[in-house]
Amino acid sequence: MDKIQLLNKMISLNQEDGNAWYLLGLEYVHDNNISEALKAFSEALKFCDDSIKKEIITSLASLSATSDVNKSRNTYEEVRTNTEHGIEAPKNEIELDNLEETDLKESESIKVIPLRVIEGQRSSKIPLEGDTRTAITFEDVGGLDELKENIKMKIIKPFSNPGIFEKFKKKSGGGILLFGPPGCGKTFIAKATAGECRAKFIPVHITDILDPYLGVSSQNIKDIFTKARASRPSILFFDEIDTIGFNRAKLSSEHMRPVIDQLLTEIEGIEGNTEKLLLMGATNMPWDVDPALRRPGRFDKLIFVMPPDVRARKEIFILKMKGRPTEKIDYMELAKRTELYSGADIENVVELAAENVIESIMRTGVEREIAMKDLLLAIESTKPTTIEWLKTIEIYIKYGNNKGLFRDVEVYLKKYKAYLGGH
Amino acid sequence: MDYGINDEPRRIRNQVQHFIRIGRYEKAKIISSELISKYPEYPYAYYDMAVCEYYLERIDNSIELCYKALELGMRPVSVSIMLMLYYNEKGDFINVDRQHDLLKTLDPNNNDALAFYGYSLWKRGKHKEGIIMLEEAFANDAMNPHIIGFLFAATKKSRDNKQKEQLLNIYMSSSASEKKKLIFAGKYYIHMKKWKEAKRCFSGAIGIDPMNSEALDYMKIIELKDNLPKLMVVAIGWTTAVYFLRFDNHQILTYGYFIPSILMVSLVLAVIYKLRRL
Repeated sequence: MDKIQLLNKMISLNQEDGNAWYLLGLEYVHDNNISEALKAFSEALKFCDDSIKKEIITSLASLSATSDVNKSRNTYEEVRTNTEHGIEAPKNEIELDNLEETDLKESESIKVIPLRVIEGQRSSKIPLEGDTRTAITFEDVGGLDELKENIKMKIIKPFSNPGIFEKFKKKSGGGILLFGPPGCGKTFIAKATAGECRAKFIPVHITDILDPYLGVSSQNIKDIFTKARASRPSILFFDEIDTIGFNRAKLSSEHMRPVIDQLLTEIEGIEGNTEKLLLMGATNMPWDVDPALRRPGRFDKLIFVMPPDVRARKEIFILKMKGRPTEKIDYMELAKRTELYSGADIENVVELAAENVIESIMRTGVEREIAMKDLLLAIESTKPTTIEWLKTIEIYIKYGNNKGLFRDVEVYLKKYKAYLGGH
Repeated sequence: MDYGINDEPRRIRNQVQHFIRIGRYEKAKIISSELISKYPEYPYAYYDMAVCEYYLERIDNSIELCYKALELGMRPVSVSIMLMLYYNEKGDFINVDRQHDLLKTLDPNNNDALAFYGYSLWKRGKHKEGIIMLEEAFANDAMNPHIIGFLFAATKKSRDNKQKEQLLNIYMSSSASEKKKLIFAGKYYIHMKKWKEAKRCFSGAIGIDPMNSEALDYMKIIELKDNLPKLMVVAIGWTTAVYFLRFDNHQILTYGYFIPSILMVSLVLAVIYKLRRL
């Protein structure tokens, strides 16, 4: 009796023996019977305990990366090609989900269980559950044409056309670090980038990584990368990356060292396998990001997400005023008067204007709409919060040993020197 | 596997501690307050919140939260050390002494507490007693960067430059962060009047942390000191110009040419005063 028969016999005696299912899966892998292996692993996941869960997930991920995920990627690529040739394409997230369900049906016919189904069993700590390809694109980002063009050249084109980079022996991978003042839409831009790349957007936050138990934080990082590799094309997005890869020169304790080391190891791993997996990070405090993370091959492409330009500010005003009772508003005038205001600052202006109108209605008993003068008054009583940030980065550029790294910022600072109080 | 132990408070606290360690006190405070509202009997949440409040310069809140943590069963040694620090900051030395007495019975070998109390005494003018305590703490734990820092501050006025240099060398090989080492070295060089080296150290520290107000303040003073000769030239030029350009009848600006000189002398005195206080 060979091993597979023996394990099948064990399973027929106890259908809920997770270990037997796992071993059966391994045997099928050994025999190169991928579809049966996937089926066995998915059963193993249903019945296993925590001690072997991670091994099963790892085996599954490596299997999926080489077999069925490639298949579904091909199907997805086909749809993309069709889109480019004018054939009706999925327009939103729901349609994209349907598309994956179609893949699923096709897969069932050849007895391959797609990873998405199996992922239902995974640990809730890993933030991949429910992440779908994002429907946000650059069309949803108002203004900021220069930034969008920059991202297209630095991220989207290398991601979508790796061939030309390979031809010229140029690495198309690595990571991208978005930095800029708070409230300027770094996360939104990252999501839109994923939408443009038609890739799965996988957000990672420090809370997904930190664990009080020894070694678990590093393991969490490892798991995140394993899963991201298995669900390519994908964008792994590290929000507030400074809290994960905090500058070690500022830390007295060594508590984050294993996490940063693991992160660096995983990024190096990506470098060898860049196809359809992109790393993105966002931070308000680029000075707090460990310099090791900014070395070539890691988060080496820095993109400055500046405060919204006049067109973007106009769009934000329109968006924030939507649904509120207003008189005729000159949005362009408002945008012109809010130089250096972040999206959050503009929201604050609108809220303040609305509050003032409500207060005046309560006082006088006469109902009225938000007028232009209310908004102008609100603008006069507020200041852009980005100024502090710009002053800090100016100091950082002056004293930090990072010549040329922040050229975009230097140009921007020069342009707005008058607003920074002679700095 | 679930053994029925709820480790959620510990998990959340881990996040709080992480944010405290990286200096994000506002964020740490928000998570702490969520932890308190979810687990109001968890003493560590109050303790962590006290630390955040201290760094956000709300000392009274810190003290109140420390007592709450104690009431809920927090280890008294850690709380007493923090209370000693907070009371010292407030200038309430009676309570500093009280906490020190308590700590002596709870944990007589606590070198951090001993060094801190020694420094507190030294600051209050009890130099001899303070130095003895600091030296005792240093003898017990020579690689502790906090103790070295206190000892250096207390021995700054002594003429023993060799001892200061030794302290600098020990501090540089301690577990202090790169940024703290640079600031420590900068202070040492200022004390030794090696301005160029001091400037290099503070510039390095600001390069690591552009929001560090201590390093920025030192840098401003050094830059002002460096610019004094240029200002002096401007002041002399201004004085001369006003002297020669004054009106013939001597009615206006008779002694006006003194004004730039007076301003210059005031500035020089202010810089000297600041430098002596560093």
